[in-house]
Amino acid sequence: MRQAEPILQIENLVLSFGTGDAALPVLQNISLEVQRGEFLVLLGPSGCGKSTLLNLAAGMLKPTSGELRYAGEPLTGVNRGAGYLTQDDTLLPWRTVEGNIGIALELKYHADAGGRKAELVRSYIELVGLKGFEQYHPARLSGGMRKRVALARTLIYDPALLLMDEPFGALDAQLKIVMQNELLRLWERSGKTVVFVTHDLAEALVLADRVAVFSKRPGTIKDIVTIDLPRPRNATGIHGLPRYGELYSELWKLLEGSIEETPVVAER
Amino acid sequence: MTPPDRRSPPILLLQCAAAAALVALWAARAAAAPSMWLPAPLAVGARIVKWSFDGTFARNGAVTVIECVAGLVIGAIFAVLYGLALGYYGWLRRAIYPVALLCYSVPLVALAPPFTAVFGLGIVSKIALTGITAFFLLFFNVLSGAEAIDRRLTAILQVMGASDREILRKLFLPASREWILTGLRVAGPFSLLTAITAEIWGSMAGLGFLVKNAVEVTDMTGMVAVLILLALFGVALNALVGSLGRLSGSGNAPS
Repeated sequence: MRQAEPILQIENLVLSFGTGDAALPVLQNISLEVQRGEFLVLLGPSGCGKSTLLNLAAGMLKPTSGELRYAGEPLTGVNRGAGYLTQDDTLLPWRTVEGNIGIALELKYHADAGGRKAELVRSYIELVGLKGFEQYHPARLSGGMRKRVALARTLIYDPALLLMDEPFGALDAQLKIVMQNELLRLWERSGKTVVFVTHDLAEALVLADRVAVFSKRPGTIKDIVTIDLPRPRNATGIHGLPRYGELYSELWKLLEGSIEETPVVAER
Repeated sequence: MTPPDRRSPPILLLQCAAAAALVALWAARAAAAPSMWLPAPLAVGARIVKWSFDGTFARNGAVTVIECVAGLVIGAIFAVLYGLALGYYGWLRRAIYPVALLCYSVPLVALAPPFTAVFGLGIVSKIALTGITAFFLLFFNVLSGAEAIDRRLTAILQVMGASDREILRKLFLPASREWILTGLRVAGPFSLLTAITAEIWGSMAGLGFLVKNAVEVTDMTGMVAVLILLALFGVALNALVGSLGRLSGSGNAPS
């Protein structure tokens, strides 16, 4: 299934904010290859720079040194092959569910592609289970529904690489599980590549093919753990597996040393 | 539903009583010590009626309205363009903001004499002054609005393939809507202030012209009549700009 060429290659990447003596190292010597179709989770404590790495992959930031290649090509400028999903609500409050999901098509095709746009929007609204809410504004939706809108908005323009920055971090525990299952269902069908940032160990285990564990700032990758749990997975049924417990302890041991109260420096 | 408070009389009645008390006080003072500096309410009332029917108010009022509205519209258009552009392009903001702040620090009414000298006694000098006032009041509002936009939204749209123009049109403009309306609500009364100031400095028509003219011929009756009209003008203008948000419909309105 996997092709030879990784979709995203990161080599000896270093990022510091500021220059000279005041330079704040954020990421150090990051090397990582993301295979096509894989679900990679970046796991680490708050402020370890994992969200910053996502921004780098989206082309929103330039590395201080090192290289990033997307589909074999060095990344210059914004990564238009990617879709970006953040923890916070980034829906446009003045647009309806339909309008928010459709915006990507307006931007990508720079015009209404005839009736095709309306049809596509309708099918994605159904895909994320929001039929009947087309004309609602975000203010009237629950947190989970807003997440679904954001997910549909990202999926509709068919990016090959999905960058997800703690997308379910703000949801309550039950809703989080529902959304994780939803994401697994959508991902398993789509064959897309996902890079997913979280500090939630259980979430990493439920979703990932591989987990890259980060150390605290300046962020480095401590280890990459392959999560050999069977698929298709279900966020509620996976905890009973003996292998789950083993992987949990393994990840926990890697994380343990990194956890320490540190002032959070803005990752943007 | 709150039950009516039985102990207090209707609020409208109280308001009328307060207004009547003010006029009565004025009438009593004018009757007790007649002076050319304090015309009697009846004389002022008669003048208001006269000027309402002989076209004095209509002619001069129209000039002032045109000055205010044209200045507001022109100032607002430039303020939105520059405010959004500076909000979006950080380097542009850093380059221009100090200069803008310096210009804004000039009390804008001090520009009335030079504008009159440059643009003449007609409405052009007044529109220039109300326009520049509206521009600054709105510009800083729009800029704050644009700066308050979550950069991650910009990033997400860029990743989706949005051009700079699309981001300005589809994100910055609608997101700044409330800030633009707030700016207009502030700029409305100020446009009247600056238009009247410029008219008093030098003009051939307008309500400010009427005030200045009345004072010059010591026609205090006429002067008070214009001031009363100006007060009503101010109220109407405030109501107009206050209703702008409702007229254009609320973006968050449930459908």
